[in-house]
Amino acid sequence: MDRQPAAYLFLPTAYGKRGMVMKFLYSSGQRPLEGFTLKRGIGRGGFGEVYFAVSDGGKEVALKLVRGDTQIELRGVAQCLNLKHPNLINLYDLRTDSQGDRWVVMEYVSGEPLNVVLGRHPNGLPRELASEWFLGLARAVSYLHDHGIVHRDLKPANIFLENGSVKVGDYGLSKAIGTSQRTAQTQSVGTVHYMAPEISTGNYGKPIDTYAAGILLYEMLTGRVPFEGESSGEILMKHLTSPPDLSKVPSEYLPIVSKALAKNPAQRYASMTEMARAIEAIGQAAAPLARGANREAEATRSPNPTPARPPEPILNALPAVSRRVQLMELCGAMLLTVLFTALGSVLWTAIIHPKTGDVFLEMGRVFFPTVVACWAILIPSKFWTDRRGDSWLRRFSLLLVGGLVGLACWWIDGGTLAVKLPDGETGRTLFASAEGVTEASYFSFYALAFFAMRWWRTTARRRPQRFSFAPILGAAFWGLVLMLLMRPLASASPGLLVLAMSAAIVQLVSPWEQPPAPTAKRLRLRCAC
Amino acid sequence: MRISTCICLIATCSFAVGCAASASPQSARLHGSASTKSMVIQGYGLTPKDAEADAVDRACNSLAEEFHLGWTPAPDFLLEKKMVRFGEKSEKASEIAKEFGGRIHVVQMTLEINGEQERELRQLARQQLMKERQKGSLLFLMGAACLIAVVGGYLRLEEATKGYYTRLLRMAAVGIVSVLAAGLWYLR
Repeated sequence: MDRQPAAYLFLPTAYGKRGMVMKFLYSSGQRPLEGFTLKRGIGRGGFGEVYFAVSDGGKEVALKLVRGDTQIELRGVAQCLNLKHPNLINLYDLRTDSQGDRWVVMEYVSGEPLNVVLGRHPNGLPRELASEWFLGLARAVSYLHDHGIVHRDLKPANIFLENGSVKVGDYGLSKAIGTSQRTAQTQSVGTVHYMAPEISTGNYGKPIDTYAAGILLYEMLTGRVPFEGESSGEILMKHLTSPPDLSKVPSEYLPIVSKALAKNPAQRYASMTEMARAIEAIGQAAAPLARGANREAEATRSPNPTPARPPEPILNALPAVSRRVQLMELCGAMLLTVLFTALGSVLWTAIIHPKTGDVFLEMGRVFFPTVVACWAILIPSKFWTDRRGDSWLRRFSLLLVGGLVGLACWWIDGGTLAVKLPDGETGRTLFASAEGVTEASYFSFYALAFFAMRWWRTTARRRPQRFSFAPILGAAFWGLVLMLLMRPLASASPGLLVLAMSAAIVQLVSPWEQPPAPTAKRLRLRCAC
Repeated sequence: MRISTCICLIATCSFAVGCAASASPQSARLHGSASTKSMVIQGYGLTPKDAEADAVDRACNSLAEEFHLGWTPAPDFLLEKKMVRFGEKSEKASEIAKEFGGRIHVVQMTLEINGEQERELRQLARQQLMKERQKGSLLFLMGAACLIAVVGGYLRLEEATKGYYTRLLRMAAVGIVSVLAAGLWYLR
C-alpha cells in the first residue's frame, strides 16, 4: 500500500513519493495570486498543488491551486467556506488569479498527517490514542454531516494533528466522483482503500463517510487497512464482496468496526455521533466527544449557535516526530557524540597517563572507534521504526553493523590486510598474526558485542529513563567476556572501553520523552509505541 | 532471564570460545618466538663510513620488505638495538667512482633480528601506520562533522523560518560546504 503521495499535503516540506523533492509550477517568492507571496510548495495531488504562502498583511495560509473540473469542485468549496469547527481546516476564500486559475485560500496546518503517524506505528496506535484521533475525526465529520456536506475523501492523509487537536482537511474538494467520474477519484490508490461499496452504484450519502471512518478506525487499531490488493479494481471488488478480517481488531472494538464496515449502508451507524458514542462507551477515551458532539448537534439546531468547545490537547501525549525532525535530531546527536567522545577520550588519557608512545595516539585509539560505534548505533535506530517481534532481525542487522565497525576499528588501529593465508610457519591464524590481531578478530569482537545487546533500546525516545547505568554495565560485561575469550585483542584494542563509552554516549545524545504514566494497559502501550 | 537473552548469551559465548581456541596457541607462539633471523647485506661508499651508512640504509629497506611492515625503520633504531654487525671491509674498482679515484669501499654487514626485536619492529610499524590513519580519520571526521552541522543547521533554520529564507539558506549552506571542502582539501 502506498499512501505517500498525499502524505505531506500540508507539511511545510515539499517531499513527495519516497522522499523525492516535488517540482511545483510556482517557485518561492512568486505572487500568482494578488495579495499573497508563495513561500514554498507543500503538496501535490490530482486536484492541483498546495503552497505555503503569506498574505501582504502577514497571515500565513495554504493556497490550493485547483485544477481539473473546477466548476463542480469549486461549488463544493464554496459550500464549505463559512463552516467553522475546531476540528476542520478552515477555508478562508476562493479566489481567481490573473490567468483565470482558481485558488482556495485556507488555514495553514503544519502538524503531521495521520498516515505519517501510522507509518511509525506499523502495528497500530495505542488504543487510547486511536480513540482520540477517531473522536476528533468524528467531531469534524459529524459537523459536516449536520451541514449537509459529505466529506467523501476521508483518509489518513487528510487528517492532521496540530497543537494536540485533530484537524480534518480536503473537504469540499476532489469530489469528481460525485459526478460519476470515478477515474478522477481512483487515480489515487490510497483513496480506494477507504471507498464504500455503495459508491459503485452511485450512492454518495453520509454512510460512505461512516464506512471510511470505520476503515480508519480499523487501520489505527491494527496498522493495516482491511482490504489490500494489487490494483484499484481488486480493492474495490473486495470492498464490494469480501468481509473484512477482524481477527486483529481488539475485541471491544469488534462490534463497532464490524457495524461501520457493513456492506449495506442501512446497517451502519446512523450518524458519526452514534459511532463516536460507541467508541466512548468502551471507556478507553476521555469523555469530551459525547459532550462535544451533543453540544455541536444542539448548536446546529440552535438559531444562535455557540462555538464548539475546543478539543482537549490529549494527543500531545503522542510522540509526533516527522522524518525531517528525526533528521535534525540525528544531526544534533551525531555532533554531540563527537563532543562527548572527545571529552571522554581526554579524560581517559588523563587517567591512564600513557607511558610509552604518543598521548594523542592513545587518545585517538579510543576516540575514533567510539565515534564510529556511536554513529553506527544512532543512525539505524533513528530510522528503524519500532516493531513488535523484530528483535532478532535487529540483532542480526546489528551483528553486521558491528562487524563493519570492527573492521573500521581495525583499520584505524593500523591493521594491514596481509595477503598471507593462515599457516603454521608465519604464525598467522584467522584471529592472530605476527602483526598483532587480525581483522577477523576485530570483526568478531564488535559484531558479537553489537549482537549481544539491544542497543536500539538505549536510543529509544521513550526509554524508561533518560540515562541508565544498566546499558553501560551490560556493554562492559559483554566486552569483558569477549576480551577474556579473545585475549590477543585485549592488549591490542580498547574495545571494552569503546563499548562502555558508546553505551553512555548514545543515551546522552538521544532525545528522550517522558513515557506515559503507567496504567493497566502499560505493557500493551509500550509494545505499540 | 528472557529466552532470547539466553540464546544470545550461548551463541555469543560459543562463538567467542571458538575464536579464543583459534587465537590462543598461535598468540603464544607469536610472543614467545625466539628464532633469530639473519641476513648479510653489503654497503657501498666513497669512504668506509659512507659504506657503513649505506649498508644500514639497505638493511632498513630489507627489513621493511621482508616483514611487510609498510614503514621503513630509522637507521638509528637498528644501531641502537644492536641488530647490525659490521664485517669485512674492502675496496674495489668502480666506473661510477671514476671521478674520485676509481675505487669504492665495500662493507659486509650482518643483520640479525630476534623474535623480540621483530615484535618491537612490528609494533613501531603499526604505530606509525596508526598515526597516519588517525590523521586521515581526523580529517574525514572533521569534514563529516562540518557537513552534518551544515545539514542540521540548514534544516533547523529552514524549519524555524518556514521557508522565508530558503534560497538564502541553501546558498549559505552550499557556500559553507564549498569553503569547508576547499579547506579540507588544502589540509590534506
